Amino acid sequence: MAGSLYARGSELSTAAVTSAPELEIAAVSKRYGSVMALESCSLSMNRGEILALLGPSGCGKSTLLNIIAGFETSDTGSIRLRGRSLNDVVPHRRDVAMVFQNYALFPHMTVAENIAYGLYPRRLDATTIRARIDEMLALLKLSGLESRYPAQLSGGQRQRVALARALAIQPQMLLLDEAFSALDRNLREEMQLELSLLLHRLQVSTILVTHDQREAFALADRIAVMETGRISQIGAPREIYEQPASDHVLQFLGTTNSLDGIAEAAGTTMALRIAGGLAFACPPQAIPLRAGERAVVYIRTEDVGIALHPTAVHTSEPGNVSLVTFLGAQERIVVSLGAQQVVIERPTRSTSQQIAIGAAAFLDFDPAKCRIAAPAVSP
Amino acid sequence: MRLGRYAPWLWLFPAGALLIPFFLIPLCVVVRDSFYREDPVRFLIPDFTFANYARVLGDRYYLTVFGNTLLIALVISVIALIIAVPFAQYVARSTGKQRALLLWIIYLPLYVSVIMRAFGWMVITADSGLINSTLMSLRLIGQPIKLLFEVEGMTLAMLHRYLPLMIIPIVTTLQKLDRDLLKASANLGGSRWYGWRRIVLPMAIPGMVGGTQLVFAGVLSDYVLPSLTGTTRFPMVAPVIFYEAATNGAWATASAMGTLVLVVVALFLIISSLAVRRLMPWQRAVQ
Repeated sequence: MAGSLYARGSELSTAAVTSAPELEIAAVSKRYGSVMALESCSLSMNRGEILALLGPSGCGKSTLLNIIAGFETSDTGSIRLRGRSLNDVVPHRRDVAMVFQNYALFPHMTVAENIAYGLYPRRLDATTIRARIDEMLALLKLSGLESRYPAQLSGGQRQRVALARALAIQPQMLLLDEAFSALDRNLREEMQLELSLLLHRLQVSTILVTHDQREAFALADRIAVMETGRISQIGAPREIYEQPASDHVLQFLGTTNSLDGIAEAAGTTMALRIAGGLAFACPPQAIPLRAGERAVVYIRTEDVGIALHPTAVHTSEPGNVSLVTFLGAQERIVVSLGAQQVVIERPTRSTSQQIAIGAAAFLDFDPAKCRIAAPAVSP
Repeated sequence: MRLGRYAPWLWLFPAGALLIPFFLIPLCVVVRDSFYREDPVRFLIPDFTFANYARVLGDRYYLTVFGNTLLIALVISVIALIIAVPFAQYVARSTGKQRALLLWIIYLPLYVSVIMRAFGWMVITADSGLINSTLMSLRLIGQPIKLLFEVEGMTLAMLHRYLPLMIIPIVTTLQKLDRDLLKASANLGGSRWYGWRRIVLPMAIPGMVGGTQLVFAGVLSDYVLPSLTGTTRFPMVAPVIFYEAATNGAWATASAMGTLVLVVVALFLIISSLAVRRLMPWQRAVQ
């Protein structure tokens, strides 16, 4: 059923058009007073692609989304959608549909009226509108709810209506603004899975804005990590997770330990000592250090192992297990090394292999997985 | 503590102490008197008769008075609505000092005594008043238009008096309108006009009905402005009631007319509230 509606779009996407980018954002900047909300952001998207703008609040991701929707204007730069410049196009002629964080459903209209809202201005005949409503109801599993008002729906159903209303106009692009944040966790993950399947099937180009990396990973083909108005890195989820381009990207994705270390000469090379018995030779990608200099070592929690005997990097003076937390499939162990805490996440072991609080433990990791950076200047 | 059980009701005591002796009881007296027999000497004789109602409803003059009053109430409500909706929308959208100033302009007439305002309107609408002298000096009219002590001048003065009661409820409803709804409307391809017609207007219905109820009931029972700016050639119900009671000594007739006004207002409130339920089925969905 959905195939019929979106057939035109998917045929085009497999044809010659694929080479031209669907959306092209070039050097878009936006300033609010003295604050640079966006600083020369550029990205391009292919048809049917799902792109996540991921970053902490205030990083500019929502501003960029609002500029694409036309609710805000950029100071400089250009936005082209299917080759058409959007810079001077009013919001209601842009043909990009947005799902708002609070859904912004029209409270005085039924589910069916909400879905039909964007169809009347498109001057479709009554039969087409009726068919489109039915199609959206079926597509988003809302059948039977068409004469309910938003106040009579659950959170998950409201989100479905918001999606149905946006998809009903067959937009050139779909924008999701923190669209899952109002749902509780189980429902959120269920909806993310369903939406991911749906969007890939319909081949709708989508930009989603989120601060939740799990959401970005669950839905996106590519992720643009943003920080203070800039795009720090853009790439496939695995790529940015495994090869973060900056300390910010590394810290933002996954859970990462940041440990203080001091450089010391070890023969011809440099070693970093984190605590008494924990030291390792600097990996080749480390920043140049001189003996006695401080550095920050970033390492993901899942890249640190724990042992009861000395390891290659942790030869003496074991740490102390200060916390063991059961997280279901994972367990989290916190090891204290002097004044520093190292967090370790690993698949939950059987009861007999569990490590006890207070046990002496040695850490184990591959120095190549560490990222060494100059210590942050404390303000 | 024993008092604790009654504590919620204690909050109503000040209002009740004022309203029951000074409002509810006199109202009951009026309704009672409307069924008493009229007497030229003793004014009222206890009885239970519908004669007063029959007299009022059977008399062309009284029916004209009610018709005049209902017509003016309707005209003022409609004009007030037309002025209030765009104004309220502008106020609801504005912020900061501008909003404070606009709200102050709305409230200002309510701070000034109605007598003062009536005299103000007399100065403005008189033959040599502001309106006529301006129009004459612009050579738009050759001789003054009769406004003061005419229906036109009275309507103008009453419109000014009751306009705030129309604007304030509409501002209140429009303030509650989620701005994201209009963004969503534009985002889905709706023009400004489409969004206004399909979102702003329906969502403003409670305020519009509330305002109309206040204005309608207010005009229907207004005594001061018809007396000071109106004309006896176009009698309005409140001055006529006063005249019957105070000058004619026809207390029972006056009571019957007063009760009829009360019934008309009550009917209007009930019908318009039912209309709201009808026009806004989504309100029922919330409960």
